[in-house]
Amino acid sequence: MVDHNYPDRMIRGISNKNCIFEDTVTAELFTEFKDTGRTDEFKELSISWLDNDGAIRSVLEQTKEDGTLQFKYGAAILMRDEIDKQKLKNKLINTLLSYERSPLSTNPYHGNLLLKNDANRLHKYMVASALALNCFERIITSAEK
Amino acid sequence: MREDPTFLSEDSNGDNSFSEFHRFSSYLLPSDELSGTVSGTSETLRKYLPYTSSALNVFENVNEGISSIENPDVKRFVVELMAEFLGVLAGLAKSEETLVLPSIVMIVNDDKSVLLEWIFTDFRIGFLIYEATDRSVWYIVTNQNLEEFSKTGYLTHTSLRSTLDFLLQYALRNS
Repeated sequence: MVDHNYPDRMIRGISNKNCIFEDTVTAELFTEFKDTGRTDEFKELSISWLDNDGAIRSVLEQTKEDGTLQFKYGAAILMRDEIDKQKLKNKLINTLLSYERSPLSTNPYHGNLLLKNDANRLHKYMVASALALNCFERIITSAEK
Repeated sequence: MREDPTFLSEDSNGDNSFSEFHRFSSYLLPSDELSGTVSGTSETLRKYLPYTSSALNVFENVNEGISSIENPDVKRFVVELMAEFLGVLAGLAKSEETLVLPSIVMIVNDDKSVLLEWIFTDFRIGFLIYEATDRSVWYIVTNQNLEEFSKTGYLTHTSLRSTLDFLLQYALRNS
């Protein structure tokens, strides 16, 4: 079933070179889930939904307070249908992992990957590695935007 | 008194013996100059992995990055893990004529833990090393070409050898 609320792709900015290995990404890119005090017991990892090319520009042109690029190593594109497949095939991942739209005034494309608060570090790294291995498509850099 | 760190590479008899590898592993553990000792690993590998010149690359990133690990207990466990890894790899690689193995990626996290990730096309093996070794974990995740499964567990001193046996056998069989 096609979920029209979400596009096929999402992107996650890369601010740390350690998150890149050759032409792929390490699990580290998907481990920094933040506890924002949600009542649904999920932690958040920011992504942007790839509704159109504006999402790519929004991520790659984002700057820090000092004016330097927030994601100077580019952004990783993830395939939503592959995340859905992981959830269908793996009961644990289905329980632990979710995603949402969460637009911000500064970024209408903003959303989150969500990880259950009670996921232990074993689970967190298993999920992160599954995302990196099975759901990652490619890295996009500012030269391509 | 400990022996010179290069003692194995000075021995030129070409014997690929597993017991000597244990000497190397046990030599590493009490070392108070861990980065210096580990940097001698490639010389040792040349002797003990004679069929697998490409296997020399496996530890390249760890060798380069180990001095950036600030926590001595984490560093010690990383060295122990790599020494044991080396021993298991040497034992398994004896019958392999050619191996193409990627370098292990090492990342020092903000919380001082260390992630070691071995990235293959169809699977990934990872180790997350903490100061308290009973918190350290391993995982393996595969894609649909390899039945898309995942396994994970805690990494303890007592389980190190059996865990590495399982993971490296899988890696060599499927790389």
